[in-house]
Amino acid sequence: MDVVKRGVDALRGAISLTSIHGEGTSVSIRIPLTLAIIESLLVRIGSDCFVLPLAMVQECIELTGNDIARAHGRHLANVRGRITPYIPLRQRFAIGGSRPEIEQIVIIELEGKQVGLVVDHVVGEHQTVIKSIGKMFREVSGISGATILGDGSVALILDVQQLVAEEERAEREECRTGGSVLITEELQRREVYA
Amino acid sequence: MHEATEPSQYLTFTLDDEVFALNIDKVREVLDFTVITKVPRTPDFMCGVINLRGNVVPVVDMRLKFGMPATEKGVNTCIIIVEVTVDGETTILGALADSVQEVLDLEPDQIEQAPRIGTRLDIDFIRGMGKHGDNFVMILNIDKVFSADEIAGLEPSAAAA
Repeated sequence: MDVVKRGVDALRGAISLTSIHGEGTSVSIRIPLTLAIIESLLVRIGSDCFVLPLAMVQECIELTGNDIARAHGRHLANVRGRITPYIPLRQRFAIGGSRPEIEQIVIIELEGKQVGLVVDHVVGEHQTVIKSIGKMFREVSGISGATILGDGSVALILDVQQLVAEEERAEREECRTGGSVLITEELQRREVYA
Repeated sequence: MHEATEPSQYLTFTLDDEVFALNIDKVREVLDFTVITKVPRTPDFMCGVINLRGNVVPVVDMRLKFGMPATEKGVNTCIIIVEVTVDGETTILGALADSVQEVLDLEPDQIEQAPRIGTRLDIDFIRGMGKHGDNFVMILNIDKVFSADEIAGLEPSAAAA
């Protein structure tokens, strides 16, 4: 079992166990991306490019200032009648520069539910050759690898599962403490090592 | 500190006008400053990653690690690609330097042990002080500067004293 865990960890995967007394145990192994080529969607926030697996993407819609005002500051969007939560990536990643007037939400399907990721521009489809980002970045939540774009620049591969889990955790903390957790954590992280 | 019996070569570089040196066998290459892609949710001293001939290599700002103000990109700023060996495993990473100077040949008798106080750096980071003419250069122990924990992506080690 230790060998399995080490192997799965090496691939940046996760193992989870659910066990019901008297009924049985199920072991789930989640293996994210390995050295492979995947069809992905290339998006841009500020001057940084990110890619996410195209298979998870359902659609892209616009997010205007009006939509944000109507939601009264909550990160919820109305997608054809359905309330869809979204993650403001520019905020979460503390990317500099100013927000464009009209942003794009990429609607992802995750475990049967819909989540949106807010980006500045959706550039288009991209065949991504996954490059490992190295052990130094293993603990970074939300980034699972990198790829080299046609112009030689590096784009980071988003781990949507981790982003959503992190968001859930942060919102629960916020409700408890009444403050903005992720911004505080980001500032603290920078302060400690500055 | 192991005793060297032959002269070794050291690459000298500057960080904020202070001269440091690295053993040449740890240095792979020196690049001009290129676009660095910042990875979100990383400490400030981790500048990000670069594309090195198809490989994604992390770049760190040594000035921030040593408690100096952040590097200002100038015409001489460059990235030194080093090999860091930790627990027998070798990782390649890039370190920002304000400028790269020359390769020095230092005899073992020109290298003194680092003083325990006065260098304003963690004693582990310095392998010795080399004497070159009238000046001293601090020879870095690059394996200690980037600790095993950091390479493994866990908590960074404490920086300046």
